[in-house]
Amino acid sequence: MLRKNHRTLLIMLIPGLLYYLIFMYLPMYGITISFKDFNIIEGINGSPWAGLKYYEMAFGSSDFWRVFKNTLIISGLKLVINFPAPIVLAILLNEVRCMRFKKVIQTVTYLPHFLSWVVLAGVISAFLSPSTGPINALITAAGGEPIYFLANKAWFRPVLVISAMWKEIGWSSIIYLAALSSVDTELYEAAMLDGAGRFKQIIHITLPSISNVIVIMLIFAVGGIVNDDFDQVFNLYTPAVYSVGDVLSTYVYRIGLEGMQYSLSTAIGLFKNVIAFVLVLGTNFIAGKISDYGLW
Amino acid sequence: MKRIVLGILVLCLLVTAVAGCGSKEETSGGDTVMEIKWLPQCDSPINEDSPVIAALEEKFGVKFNFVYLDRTKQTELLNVRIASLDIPDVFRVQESTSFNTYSTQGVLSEIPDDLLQSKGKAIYDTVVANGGERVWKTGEVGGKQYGIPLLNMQGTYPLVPIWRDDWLAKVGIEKIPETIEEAEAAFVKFTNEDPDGNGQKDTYGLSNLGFYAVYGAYGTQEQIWQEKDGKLEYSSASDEMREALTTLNRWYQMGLIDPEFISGENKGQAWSNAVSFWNGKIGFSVPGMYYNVAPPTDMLQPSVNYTNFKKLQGDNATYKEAAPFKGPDGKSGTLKWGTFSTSYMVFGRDLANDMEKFGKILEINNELVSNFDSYLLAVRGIEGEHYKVENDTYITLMDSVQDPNISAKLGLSANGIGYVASNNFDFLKRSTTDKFAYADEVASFYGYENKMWGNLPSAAQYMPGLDSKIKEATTLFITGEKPLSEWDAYVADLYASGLEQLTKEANEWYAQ
Amino acid sequence: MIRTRGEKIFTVVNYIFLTLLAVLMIYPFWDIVRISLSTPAEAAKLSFTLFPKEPTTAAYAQVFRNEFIWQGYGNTIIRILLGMPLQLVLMVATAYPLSKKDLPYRNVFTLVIVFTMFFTGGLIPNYLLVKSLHLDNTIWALILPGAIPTFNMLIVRNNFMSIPTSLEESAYIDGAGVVRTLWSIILPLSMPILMTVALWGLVGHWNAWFDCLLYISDPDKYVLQAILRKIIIESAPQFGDMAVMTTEDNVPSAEVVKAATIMVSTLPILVVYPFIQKYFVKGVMVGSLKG
Repeated sequence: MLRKNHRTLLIMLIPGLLYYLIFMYLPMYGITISFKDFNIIEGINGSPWAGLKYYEMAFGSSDFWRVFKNTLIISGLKLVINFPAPIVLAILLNEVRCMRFKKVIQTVTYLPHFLSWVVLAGVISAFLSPSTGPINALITAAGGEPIYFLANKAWFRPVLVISAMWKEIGWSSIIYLAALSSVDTELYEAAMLDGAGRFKQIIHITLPSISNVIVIMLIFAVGGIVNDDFDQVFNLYTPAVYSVGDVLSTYVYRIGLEGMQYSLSTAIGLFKNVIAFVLVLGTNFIAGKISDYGLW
Repeated sequence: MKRIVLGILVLCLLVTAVAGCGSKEETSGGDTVMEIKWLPQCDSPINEDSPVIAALEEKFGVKFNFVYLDRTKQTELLNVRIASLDIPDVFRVQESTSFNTYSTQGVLSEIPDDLLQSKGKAIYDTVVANGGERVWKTGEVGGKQYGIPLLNMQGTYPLVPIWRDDWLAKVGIEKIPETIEEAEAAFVKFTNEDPDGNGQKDTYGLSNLGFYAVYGAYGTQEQIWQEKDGKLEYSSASDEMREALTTLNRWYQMGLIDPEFISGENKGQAWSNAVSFWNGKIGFSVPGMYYNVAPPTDMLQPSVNYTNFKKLQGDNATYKEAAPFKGPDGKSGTLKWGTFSTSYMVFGRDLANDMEKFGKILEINNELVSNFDSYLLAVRGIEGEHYKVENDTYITLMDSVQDPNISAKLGLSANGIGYVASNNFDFLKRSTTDKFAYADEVASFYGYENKMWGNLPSAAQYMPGLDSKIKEATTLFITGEKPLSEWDAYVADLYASGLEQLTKEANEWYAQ
Repeated sequence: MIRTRGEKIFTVVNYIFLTLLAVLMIYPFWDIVRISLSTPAEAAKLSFTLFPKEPTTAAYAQVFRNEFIWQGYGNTIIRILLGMPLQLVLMVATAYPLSKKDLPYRNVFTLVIVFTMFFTGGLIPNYLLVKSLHLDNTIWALILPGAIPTFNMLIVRNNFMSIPTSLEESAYIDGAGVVRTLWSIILPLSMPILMTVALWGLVGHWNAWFDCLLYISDPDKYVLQAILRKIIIESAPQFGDMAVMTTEDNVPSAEVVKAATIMVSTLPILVVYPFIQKYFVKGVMVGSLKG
């Protein structure tokens, strides 16, 4: 590319970089709060250094590792199951030829995204209730014993994964549908001339054409494995499933309730984000080796 | 790779270069009329043209500058304001750890003793009269008084049990059960004899709110500090709790307890909404305070529980308030919140440089607890407009049906300047005789109270972990998933996880 | 079109599966509609129902009685009209240079930007920054701090990268500059993705409320979601003082009001989607441009 073009491109980049400098890097000194004994009046810069005190406090607690493990398991399951789900949905929708049907289904499947977990939790617990819920009515009608899903250690994590899929699958498929619509239709025509069936077309044309989007989504999804959905867990869990459902964010919430533990919760957040950052860079590195796409 | 290293270097430079940029601003003071920046309870923003606030401003010759902070996010919102040194002159701290932090970090003004003596004598006197010297002392941090403890007279009444008396009659029980054996017999019949007559076995004796009475029958309550031989002990680790859980576990095995007690009888609604009871699933509950179970009377509006129960079960369905049943040793009772609300009225640091304003604020609060007319104005509004007096009874006139939150919008009680008004029990009784007549009728039995309201130094460190351990174990002991033979190991684990230290600190506090 | 038997079965199964999925998805939404039209007692009924027995619009009446609700809609729309185009312009201006593999220091810039997705200053420094820029209590406090959603920007950038460079090169040879190429070749080809990130931005602005609670102090500058939160809080006073407590049948409970606010806030946004869907079916462009 021409040198002149580079100058134009760099100039184009200035507003964006200014944004990051002002709104992201100027407040970033806030991270130091996790190494300090925060005094709200003295401010973050004026507070005395506390070294790794809060990190020791966080990691020293046996609770921490237990909840961190739960977070990794639940988010790991979500990554494996809920990451591909919207891609499959998008492809299935893409195979629908009746445009009206496609549009209706699309609009309906993205509805649950707009409901908060507080509200959905009410709907879900009514839906799954062992005495009055329709699911258990079906189970008992089929001769089974009712299952108390929200208080059952074996069922609680699957409930989290499935309900998260239910809520987000439609919304998450939008990006893939968008990507699918830029696929060159000539490719399909050519494939059809070669006698490739629809399944073959999906494998050889559709998927490769949206792989750039899939890769970038995946890179960040892998980083997201250290995060959990506070609102979902907090609104759905019961004391009976604390041992499998208690996660990092609910733990941070609890310690935050007993007073202003800014330093401790920032320390835990920073720990999490360092891992996420490393995971993202790592996935990106691997993605770069096996495909042309990635962060750089 | 080189570029990535370079990128990280640039980042580090940026972070360090920028690390000195947190700026702070001072807020400006008022002009001729003294302005008081007041953070009320915030159930709703106060209407700017509220006649009550206008009358109070005229009476005291000040201007109230009310801050509205969304109630559900108040701590976060207040803290960022404090961090920018934008601190209200008067606000409430709801929790002792925050109170301690604010006091030691210089967020608050100390209440000077001479100023209190000259301008706010009655404030001190009411706290001591209704709560005792010990409660007043909890407002002290490091030998300085930072907060005025807020009291709650409702807390002197225990939670009220209710029985489905129509169900009792149906299964052939004539009187409301008075002992735990009688209660058990009734629960067995509720569960097995189809009291709702729908031909299905879909009823139970009780759910989680009913446990208050069961714990009480064994002489304890969940997660409170109780006294034994002059020493404090945490109830969740006590023998009484083990006995209570043994009974609950037996009842659970017998099918007397609604298995869905785990997700809560209130189904995510307000804590006192006994949704399972409204739905005719259970025949006994301890949903809340007397006003949470009140039927309509000439003076009283019906409670949420009453209205929804009648609506869902039909007019023929009835329930009756009753004293809790007695346990094997004759003990009985439910939970009582206690008079001290563990919250404080506090004063922002700027007041330390403005003694005139500080004095005025104390004077205003002093009025609210010593002058009945001022009290009425701040709590009930303007006579003839918001309330009327008939035969010494103060009747609310506001069209509350149109807007349930009208008192908040007017700035009445704690939604306005009335934090401290609740400390005068005398005034409250005088202005709401009707209410307390009912309360005395249905809630005059024993209530277990938390004996410790101090701020334990290690509470923030250990309490959250203990709390979730206890909640989990309680549930699992009841369902039998965790056998009660593991009780001793469980208690040992609680002590090892910080309860040891907390018990030590609690007893140090108690010995003072 | 050639159709094998397997393909026909696939088509039928696909239609059935998608229909079932849609039924499952619409159920919670329908339940909220039902609750929003119920009396408090009926809303608390544990048995499974599809329709309210005595439909009432009391909860909607309570929501729309709020004096600031229309202003809330207005403020949200202003926020979107200012915020969404700004997001798009900044995103494209940042993403396009970063999509050029030979741009000097490209990886450094990318790292600097990606870093901020994981490391942020937190609530207090952000608040102090907005205050020191004197943005507090203005709509800019709701727009500027989120002016570039980094993840969305990276999606756009990757999309730019996937466009064959041959297209741009031929434009350069024809004498077009960078901006012109971007405008007339790259952007039209990226419409589906741009529309997607626009939708994300729009929904983000529509749903945001905490920044409003944080930075805005005048209720007449509140956005819709903040007003709706207020209505929910007001429907459940914290300490029910008996003197004013009311449980008349026609006063909706917090649960019912919450359901009504959801309808009030989601219906308008659902209408937007079909407009955006339009851009998802124009996949022919790449081919036509190539030809």
